[in-house]
This record gives sequence, structure tokens and C-alpha cells, in this order.
Amino acid sequence: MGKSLEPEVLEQCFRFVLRELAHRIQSSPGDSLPCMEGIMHHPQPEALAHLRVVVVGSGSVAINFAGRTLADMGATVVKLEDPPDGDSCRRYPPIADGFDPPSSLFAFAAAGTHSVLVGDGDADRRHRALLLNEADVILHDQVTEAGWLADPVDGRVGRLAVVAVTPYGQFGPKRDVVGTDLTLFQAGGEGYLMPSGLAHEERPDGPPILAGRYVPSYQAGMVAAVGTLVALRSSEVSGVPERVDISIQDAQLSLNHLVVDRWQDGVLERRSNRSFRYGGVLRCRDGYVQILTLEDHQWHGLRDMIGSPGWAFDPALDDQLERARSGGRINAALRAWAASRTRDDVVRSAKEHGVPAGAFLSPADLRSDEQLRARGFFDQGHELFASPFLMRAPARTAPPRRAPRLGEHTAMFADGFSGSVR
Amino acid sequence: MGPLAGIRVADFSNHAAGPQATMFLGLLGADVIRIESRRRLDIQRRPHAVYGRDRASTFDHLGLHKRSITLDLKSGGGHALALELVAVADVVVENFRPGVMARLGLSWDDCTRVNPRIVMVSLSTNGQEGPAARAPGYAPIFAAAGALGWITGYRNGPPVEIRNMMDHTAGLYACFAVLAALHARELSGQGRYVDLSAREVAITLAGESVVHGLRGQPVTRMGNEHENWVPHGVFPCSGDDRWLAIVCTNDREWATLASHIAEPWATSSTYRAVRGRIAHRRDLEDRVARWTGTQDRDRLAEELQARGLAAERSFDARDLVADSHLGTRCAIVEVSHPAHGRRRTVGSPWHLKGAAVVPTWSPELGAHNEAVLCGLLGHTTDELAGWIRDGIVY
Repeated sequence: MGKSLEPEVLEQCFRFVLRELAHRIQSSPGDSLPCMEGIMHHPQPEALAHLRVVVVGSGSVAINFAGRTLADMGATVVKLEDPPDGDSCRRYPPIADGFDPPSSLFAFAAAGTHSVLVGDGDADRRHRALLLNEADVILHDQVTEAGWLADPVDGRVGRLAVVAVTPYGQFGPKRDVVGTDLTLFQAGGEGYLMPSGLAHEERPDGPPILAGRYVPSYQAGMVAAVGTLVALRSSEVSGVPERVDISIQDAQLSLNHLVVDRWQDGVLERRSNRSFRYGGVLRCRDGYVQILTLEDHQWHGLRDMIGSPGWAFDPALDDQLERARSGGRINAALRAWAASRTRDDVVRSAKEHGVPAGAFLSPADLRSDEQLRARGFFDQGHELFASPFLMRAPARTAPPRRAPRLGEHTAMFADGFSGSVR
Repeated sequence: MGPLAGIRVADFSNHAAGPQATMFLGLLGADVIRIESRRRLDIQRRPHAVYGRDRASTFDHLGLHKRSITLDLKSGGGHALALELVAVADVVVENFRPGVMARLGLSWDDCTRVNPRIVMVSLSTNGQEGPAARAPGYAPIFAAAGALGWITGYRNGPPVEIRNMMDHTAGLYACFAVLAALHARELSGQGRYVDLSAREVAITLAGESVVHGLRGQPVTRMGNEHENWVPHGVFPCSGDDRWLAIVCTNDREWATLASHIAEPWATSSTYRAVRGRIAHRRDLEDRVARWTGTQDRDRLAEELQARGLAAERSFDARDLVADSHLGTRCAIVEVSHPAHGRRRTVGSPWHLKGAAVVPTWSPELGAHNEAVLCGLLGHTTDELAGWIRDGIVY
């Protein structure tokens, strides 16, 4: 064995490796991310490091997701939970028995946050007041801020954003109406229009449905995350707390404005008239594929893909509007072609012909997806996945953190945020 | 004025997702300058068969709160002007396919060379890297690839295409990314680059199901069903295509609904406890549907809401525009134009002090060429006339 390296030499080697890693991280898009121990880590951005967030509420997926989103960007996020059972979101489905936490919803929506248990005793009240007074951000789900939620805000000087997320907002005739993801999705303009296309064709009398399970809450949570940063900006300028009122219905509507625009242009969208004239969802032998062509060259590719039938070369079909009118015929041919092929064959053929297409992938399909693996989106062998925000320089290569156990961090935050370690 | 007053955005985005992000930034008070070109008109500025439009739209919600300039970015002069704009901007937003901005000489490296403090957000279907980075995509395709389409649909039915909502949500995420990067810039003094994949946004919208699947648990399409809450559905009411969503999250709420229904089957012991309602879900919800089918949707919604139940109409566009609650909250606002008249559109989802930006009509193509190229960048009107003549400003 040779002599061990002198400490100064070791340090130079270490700094060399760090410089190389930093250079790779800061390099232009298109370069691959550094790979450590065969595992691609998705860099966790620290854009919001030093931000102290307190989440107060029970049963609100939206404020949990807002907190998680801020935590993804480096904020220290503390959930205040009531004994004995904490946030009721911990019991929201889907439930995976034997896992910690059992609720896959909570595991996702609260990932990266901390849990502090606070009851009604004097010490608990002091602890809660301490954390609220030190917070830069308070996220909550109350229509009316009262008592201990209002106290830390009134008379406070300095930067503070207080963000409320409620079904219908803190003012207006329906402020006190309760809502769930299903009812609020129907209230936001998109629910009435879903499903369209193949699902509606096969069941034209079927009811409007919900997209996903908790989509309205996630969207409202992201609107709240935006509102948080905007309010902080305002508060820094004014020197006083800034309150933000987020309605889940309003958040929905802000993303579904096209239905209002089309109505103002004279078209009332319904599930029955909203489908793409051709393309859409195709049934294959072993699954489904989504195809969509908006440009002329994509239509030419689709035409070739399905075997170049003579009728498809009618010059009239060079016109987009005429193609739309012939959508039924095009779809009949396209569906027949796809039905005899596997999902992967259809996607491969579409790619070869320059036709935008994508397979409908299940959650289980995602783990083995080459693109997601290349981007380090999943932590190998773990249920967590990374923030979708891939931010450059500086970037901390830490893996995503799980959702907290009930009261897990009560001791860590016993002296407020100053005692915490991130 | 708004909370983002003083922030300037060079907006190279097009179609839906990118313009949604920059529209939100403009709504919050940023000065958003949209770089367009007559050589490649954006979707609202030309006929579009998908949206049943045989001419350009006179109104573009995603164009609100923006200024419009026209530059031929493939010309040396247009490229130079674009970089001048980046030099005085705080933010660049783009949603081209990966590689396009680099070919235009407007990559992150190009932008930071003229402005080390620039924040740049690139929003694409699959992200800037990886084997599928350059694959084309639209909202339904990345929603399908992100599992959101797969988990949406009737039980035993096909998956569902997710449309504009997906594009616009990706734009919302991009808006957040801009603000987070600006926050970081305040602390470090340095710009940031954010690479955002719309497909990964879709995955987060199916996050609970993706985690469940990664845990090895079965995931299926459930329509409007809920494991624990029954009834949990959207039920037909009297009239054409009129629906009411109703949810009972516990036995007390069911008892309230049952008393409102006031029919013998509703107060049956079979349904009193949630276990019974779950076991007899199909039967119960069929009965509820038969009852709601005899009811006026609007009246029933008000009655059930007044009794503390989660119940809501399935709003079509007429309902949205006429709704008094949305009007009170300025979630529906009116905009006007001297030539095109008045119309309703959607307002801001953020209620905070000083955030009220007066909605303006979307700008005509290139309406702000002089104001930006001369007023902001300091060029003369003679120079501008020359660029127009040479097709650099086009």
C-alpha cells in the first residue's frame, strides 16, 4: 500500500471534483446531468431557501400542496397539526396499507414538509404563537381569520404573506358554501366539458366527470404558491403583512377561460361538440394512444401512416376546415388502423411519420420510462419523485423528502424555526 | 400597477402554455413584451379549424396585459434587437421545442452574456434533455404520457383526453417558476434558468395515483366514485344536459340529504351508515339520480348548499358568465375595445391589495413596435422605418 495523501492534497482533489460537478450543473441545457453512483439525482432547487412557512388547516389538499411546492424550492415548511389524529388529509384515499404514510395522497401532497403537533394547552399555544410569529408565510384554509390565526398578523411589522385557500373564497355570496374536488371541478368550467371524444361517444348519456382525483386542489395550491411569492414581494415593499384570498373555483376558472371566450364568440361548448374532428383517443390491441394533428405537414404524415388511402389525397383535404368536416371518415380509417396494432407500434409509427402522438401511460408505466429516468425524475427504488422544476446553479443534489409522520418534528421546532435543520 | 410592477418580461412564447404564464405575469403587473412575427402567426392570429374558427380571433385572453412587437428573429437585425430587449428585461419565457432558442442565438448562455441577472424559463413537452426532448407534443399528449389522462374516465371506459386545462396549468407552473427564480435572484444577484417539462406537470396533477402505483398498488379509472364518500357523483336534473354534483362525506351529511329527498328509501337503514352506502353504492346513486332527475338544478343546488352540503351545478359557459358570486369576486370581468365592443372574460384568481390590474384588450400584432423599439430601447423612428422596410420588424 502506498502512503496516504496529505490533507492539503486531499482537499485540492475534493475541490477539483466539486468544481467539475458545479461546471456540469451550470452548463447549457442539452448536457446531461451528473450521475452519481449510477443514480441520476434530480437537483433540488434552493430558490426559496430561508423562507419560513407555516401551514394551518385540516382536510385541505390545496394548502398541503402549496406547502409542498414551496418546500420543493427550498422553503422550510411546518404543518401545525391537532392531536390526536392530525390533518384529516392523512386519511384521504388512495390508501396503501403497510406503507408510511398509508395515504398515497398525503405522501404526495405533503412531501418535504415538517409536522408539529400542537394542542390546546398553554405550552402548545405558546409554541404555536412562536412559529406563527417567526413565519414569513402562513398558509391556511379559513374563510374568516379569527383568534390565534389573526393575532400574529394584526399589528405585525415586516414581511409576511397570509394566504387563504377556500372553496369559494373569503368574500362573495357563496363564501360559506362547502366544496370538494368533485363539486368544485364542476364549478370551474372544465367539468361540464369532460369527457369529450371517445369516452363521450361510447357513453353519450354519461355524466360529466372529474379529471384525476384532486386536480382542483393541486391547481389551487399552485395558484396559492404564486400568490405567496407575489404577496411577499408586496409585503417587502410596504413593510406590512399582505393577505391573499384564493378561491378554488376562481383558480379553476382562471385555467378554463377558453370556454368563456368561445361562448363570447357565439359557441357554447359541450361534451358533444368539443372533440377533435379527427385523431383523439385511439383504442389499440393492448391500450390507448392519443393522436393530435394541428399542422398541415402533420396531416400529411398521418395520411401516409394509415397507408395512403386514395381518398385522403383529395385536394379538398388540403384545407384544414374541409379536413375537419371530413373528420368522421378520417377517424374511421385511423381507428381501424390503430385497432389492429399494439400501443407501442402505433406510437413508433406516428414518430416515424412526424405525427404527434403519445401512449396513455399508467402510473406503473412511468417508473421504467426512459425520458423520466434520464431527467432523474424518480428516485430509484423509492416512491418519491422530484419537483418538476429543474433549476440551474446553484442546485443541491439532495433526494426528494417524504411526507412527515404526525408530530415528527415537534421537538425539532421547539424553539421555533431557528432550531430546525434543513 | 400591480405587485410585479417594475418587472419586465421578454415573451418569446406561443400557442397556449407559455402565453398563459406570461399573461399571469402581466395580470400581476409585469410589463410583458410579446415578440411575434408575421412570418409565423400565433394560433389566435390565424384561422383555426380545431376551434371552429375560419378567421383570426378578434380577442385573445392569453394576449391580455401584454405589449406586442414583431421581429424576424432569423434575421441578424431581428436577433440583435431581441438581445437588446433581453438586456433590459428581468425575465425570458419561451416554449419552443428544445434547441430552437439556441438556433436563434437566444439560449441561456446567449441571454446571460447580455444580462447576467436574467431569469429564463423554458417550458417544453418533455424538458430540454433526454431521449424524448425533441418530440413534439400538445396538451392531450403530455397529459396522456403523464398518467393524468390514464386515470381519468368512466370505470371500464377508455381514458380521456385532457385539453386546454393541461396547457394552462403548465403555464401556471411556469409562472411560479419565474417568481421563485426572481426571489432567488434577489438573494444572490444572479440569474437562474428553469427547465420545466409539461409532462412532469401532468404527473404532479396525478400525483396521488402515481405514488400509489409506485407503491405497487392497483390504480384504475374510477369515474366520479370515491372510496369512502357516498354519494359522490354528478347527477342529472330536469332539462337538457343539466347536472348537479353532490357529495356526502359522512353519515350526518347523508342524513341531511336524505331528509331533503324525503322519500322512504332515502331514510332506509340500509344507507344510514357509510358501510351500507358503500356496499350498495350503485343502487343508492341510481336512486339519487332518479330523484334529481325530477328536480330543478339551480333551485336544488341552492337548497342543498344552504343546508351545508357540498353540492354544485355543472357550470356551462352561460352559467359562469351569469353567476353573481363570480361577478362579485371579479372572476368574470368585462373588457372593451373601440372597434370590437364589449365582452366578458375571466379575471384574476389572486385577491390581494394593490393587485387590481385593469383588464385591457389583447394588442394588435406589432402595436407596440415604436413604443418598445424606440421608446424603451432608444432607437429612432427612422431606424424603425428602415427595419420595417427591410423585413426585420415584420
